[in-house]
Amino acid sequence: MQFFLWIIIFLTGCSNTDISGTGANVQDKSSLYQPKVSQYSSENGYRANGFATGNEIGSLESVIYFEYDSAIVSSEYDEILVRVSTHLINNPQVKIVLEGHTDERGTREYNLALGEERANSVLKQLSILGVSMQQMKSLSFGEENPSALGIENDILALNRRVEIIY
Amino acid sequence: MFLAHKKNYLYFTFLQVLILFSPYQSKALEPLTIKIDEGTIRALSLGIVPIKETIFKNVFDIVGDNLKLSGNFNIFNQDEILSTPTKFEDVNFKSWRIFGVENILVGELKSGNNGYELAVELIDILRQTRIFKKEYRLRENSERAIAHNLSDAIYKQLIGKAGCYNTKIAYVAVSNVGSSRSYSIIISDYDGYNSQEILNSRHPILSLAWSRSAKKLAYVSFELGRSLIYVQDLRNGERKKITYGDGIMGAPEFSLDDNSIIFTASISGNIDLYKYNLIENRFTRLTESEAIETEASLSPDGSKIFFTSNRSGGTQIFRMNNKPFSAPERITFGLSRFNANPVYSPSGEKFSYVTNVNGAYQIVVSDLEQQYQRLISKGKFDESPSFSSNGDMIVFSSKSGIRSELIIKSTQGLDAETKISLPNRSLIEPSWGPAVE
Repeated sequence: MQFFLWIIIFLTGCSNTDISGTGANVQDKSSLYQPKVSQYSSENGYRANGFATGNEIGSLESVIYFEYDSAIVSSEYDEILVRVSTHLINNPQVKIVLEGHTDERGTREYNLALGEERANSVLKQLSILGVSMQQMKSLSFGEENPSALGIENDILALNRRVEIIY
Repeated sequence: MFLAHKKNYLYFTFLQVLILFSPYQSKALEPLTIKIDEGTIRALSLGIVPIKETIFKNVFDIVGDNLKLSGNFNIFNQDEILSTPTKFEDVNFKSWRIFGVENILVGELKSGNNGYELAVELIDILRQTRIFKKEYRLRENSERAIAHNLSDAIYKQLIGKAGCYNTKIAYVAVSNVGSSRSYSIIISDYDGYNSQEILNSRHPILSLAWSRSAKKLAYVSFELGRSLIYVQDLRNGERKKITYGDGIMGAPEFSLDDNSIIFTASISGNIDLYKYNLIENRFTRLTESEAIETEASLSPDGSKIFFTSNRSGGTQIFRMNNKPFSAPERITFGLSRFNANPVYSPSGEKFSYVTNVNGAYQIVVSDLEQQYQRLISKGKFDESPSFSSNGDMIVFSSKSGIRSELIIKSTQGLDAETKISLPNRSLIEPSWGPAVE
């Protein structure tokens, strides 16, 4: 692992030109080079795509979280997957949608594909556990429907997920 | 629509000192190239003599901003201008040469039979010759159009290639109020003015792609609950939906003749590149692997396709021949494990992509073989690079906090830039339209 450190020395000042269009804004140099990074706590995060949680399984327990840029389902979810698969095998009329999501890092199209890859990973696991393909469908929203807003690591981690929706 | 337009120009010489330290030296396997980029290029010095009449005053300001943004011009500071000639005959060449000014732009307002006219002259100070003389008739709100036209003419004369000041950009404007979201596709002049909404939806829209003729725009919309590709005719608003398989559809890219679209689809769990012929309604598969293949960009001669894949070494950029199942070659290596969204420049001698540098997602412009790479953005979440039609400028989205804005700057990585932003909206997914007659 190697790091670059870039030091940029500004020798002269700046000059601004106001383009007098409607609502024209001129930023000075100070604001240009100090990107405002607001802090968002999980309190003001929101459910972007709330789904019914009435079902006894369709609650928090049926969300599977992933590492950054990974579609590998961690073994810590074995128990949940076994429970979900048992429920589906015993209730062949029940259908689920595996909704794959990513955090906002990386490009939108890559994330759309990564969300699909995550949903398909869970689908494969459930299929191995004996769930019929007729009962499952994968769907990806990429980074478009975050579960919480913010750029802190714990918020981003909440967004890298597959939701099992009944 | 309310458009806040910001222009910032920073003039500075800067020194980039690269200090390299390597706490885990033993793990550093890949050779590291250190480039000190002074950001200096040969820029032409152009003096712009302000027009006296206020009615046209803005035209030359816009021309100055346009040319400066390309990185190919230094605009001689107006405060330093001692003489203010309005035509060739009045120019004191010596007074300009002292300051190293190579060319000047002068102009004056004339009232003719059909109202007002602006007569402008581009003058070569060193050769003491008139390069061109043009007259523009003033119409209501024609100021920006005249300025862009004049900018293209100057660019053509002094740089020797077409300008891109009469082109359009398309982008997505997202508003997010509480849990209600709205997505609009906007088309505007390259600098953000004269914007027009062509689609509005409550569902996410991404990946705008211009047809080569600029008559159509392809994009991905979630309006039916999943990502599908739509091709919208920009003249009559008609839309054609493309569906293939039961998974995602994404990353549309027009073929050179506009008759086909290269795109990403997921069928039975495999995310691959496909081609769809719009005329014959026929699908052709291009790649076959277990990994992700997406974000295709077609070379300007139509022979190659750049794409993003996670088939080896993280997320990287690959290149293949534009033929089904031709063997891809990995293009990006090096420190970053995330290099994605490759886009060819219109002339095909360079490409741009998004890289992850120490946690920041930034825009790179590189030659095709990755001999010279230049990081041209400074944000933490910069993405969606798109070249101007002449390849000299680039637009991308840059996010800080929860809001994204668009940044337009030279591909040479200079610091002059235009920012386009809207209050309470994020501007994302910019796509620079082609030059059309």
